[in-house]
Amino acid sequence: MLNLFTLVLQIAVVMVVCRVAGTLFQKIHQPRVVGEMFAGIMLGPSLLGWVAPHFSAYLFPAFSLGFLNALSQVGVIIFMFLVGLGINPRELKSQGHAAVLTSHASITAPFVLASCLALYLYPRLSDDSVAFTSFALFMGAAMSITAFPVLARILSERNMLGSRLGTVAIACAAVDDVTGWCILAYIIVLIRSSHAGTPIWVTLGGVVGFALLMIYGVQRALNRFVISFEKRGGLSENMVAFVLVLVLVSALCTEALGIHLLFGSFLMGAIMPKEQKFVRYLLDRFETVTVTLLLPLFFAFTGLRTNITLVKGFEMWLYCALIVLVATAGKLGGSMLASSLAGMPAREAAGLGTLMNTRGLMELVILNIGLDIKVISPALFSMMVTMALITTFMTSPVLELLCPEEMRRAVAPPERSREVALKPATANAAGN
Amino acid sequence: MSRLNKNFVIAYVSLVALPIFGLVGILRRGQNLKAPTSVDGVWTIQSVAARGTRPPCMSALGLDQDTLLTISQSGKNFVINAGKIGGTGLIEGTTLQASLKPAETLLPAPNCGDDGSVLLTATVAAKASPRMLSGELSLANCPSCDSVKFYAVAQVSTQKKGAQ
Repeated sequence: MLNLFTLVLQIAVVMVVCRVAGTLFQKIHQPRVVGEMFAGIMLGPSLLGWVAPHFSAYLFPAFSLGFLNALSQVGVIIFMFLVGLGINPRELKSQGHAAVLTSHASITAPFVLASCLALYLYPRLSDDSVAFTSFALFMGAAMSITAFPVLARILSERNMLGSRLGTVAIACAAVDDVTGWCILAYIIVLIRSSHAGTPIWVTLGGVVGFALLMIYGVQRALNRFVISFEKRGGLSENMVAFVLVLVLVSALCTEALGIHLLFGSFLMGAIMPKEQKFVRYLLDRFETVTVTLLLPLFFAFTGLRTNITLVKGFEMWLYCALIVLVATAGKLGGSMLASSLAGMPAREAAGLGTLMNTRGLMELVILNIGLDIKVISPALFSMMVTMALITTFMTSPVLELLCPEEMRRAVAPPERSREVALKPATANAAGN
Repeated sequence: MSRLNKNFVIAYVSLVALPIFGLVGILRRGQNLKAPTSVDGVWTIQSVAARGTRPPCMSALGLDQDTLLTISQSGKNFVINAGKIGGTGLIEGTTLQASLKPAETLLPAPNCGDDGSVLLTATVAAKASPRMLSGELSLANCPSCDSVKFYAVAQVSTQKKGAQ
């Protein structure tokens, strides 16, 4: 039964801890979101539950976690819509061969390395109810993701959005995210079909049909929002509510089709008109509550599921170190190698690799799905969360170390700078 | 084809296309791997010695008929909670071994071992439908206490593995 006192107390505590941690991390030149991710872990069994088990049990009793999860999932649905909203396919097209090669290699390198690692980890951290193919594909997808919003935030804070490095990184991260989510959708279809008895091609056909309907049918209709926006200089409350309803309906459709709510909200964001002022307007409308209230709940819920004490003994920490190493080698190394081959100077290529290695919040979203569908075990989940925190935390200092100031600020050709002028708003949406 | 395009194609094939072929090989190779038997989930204790016939030291542990036994598995390691006791264990093949401790508030009765630790040894019948777990519980450091036999059946969850 819902205990309103407990829920409101949880929300208040989570918000305070996340704000304080976020502010402290900003003081050490980290994006606020990294501090909030750490705050979530601190509130879970890894710290609070370990240091003060009675207080932890009082604050987060087992019966209350369902409500906390429900609220946080609503936040993630809106967050994924905002991420999709920030992705502009035109930007991807404008980047040329170098970005195409780098973005694709930055997916395949960590994906293949993660699958190799899966050969080692599967007998040690999984069980026979999970098929190796699902396990390996999930590990690949989880390691090849780049946190597009956190990356945008890092670039924005360092005035790098208009730089050559920044524009290529943003384009590659967007490609990585879209690809990563497509692969994840396939894995979920694969797993759910095997249990539900529905042939995989039926589910896949449904998903592809829905995506085509959204891209070629609904997208055109959405232009009416822009027409109304331009006519009135804004959207009425009814129109804003209608946008939100569309996001929810799209999310429900993908859930009913057998993938996940989040794909629908992401797709709705991706097909929204990309007029700069319109996008900024929607971001302003939705991001405050999402970023300050709902996402911290997601971090807290993730933290409550992360139990670092499950990673015990030399062997387990070795697995954790291997995960961090492989994730970094695949993402940073793969992106660096590809951009070097595409003609980028070595240090700049290293900077790009470092940026692509940012996983942040997107990784947590994917890992939570993996734990929900039980394709990864609780210990592996905790190791992967650790990896996400380390790779996100290391981005800013390593970037400063590898790339001198003038290289980070090297300006992109004018047409590209204009394209990404929109990004600071997008960055706020989730990189907070 | 210009030199630039040729270089791009070569780089693309070596960095993207070839690794994808490699991935197919990895996935095939992985099919032969064997992961530990799954014991993850919620189990219902179906049979345990009746309270009267149980050694007194065991009676306070809250392990009765229909008690839920929750196992959270990560490879060979698992965390187990049953009644008023909980702990960690290992699975080797189909054999589970775990050491469980009573909740802090549950003090061991006099002459019931040092700290009331309970040892669980069980075997899982993974191919049975539903899965079954049979074994025994014994008090560590209490030679005078007889072990208690039990068997448990896996709950058929509405949230099957792989589903949400």
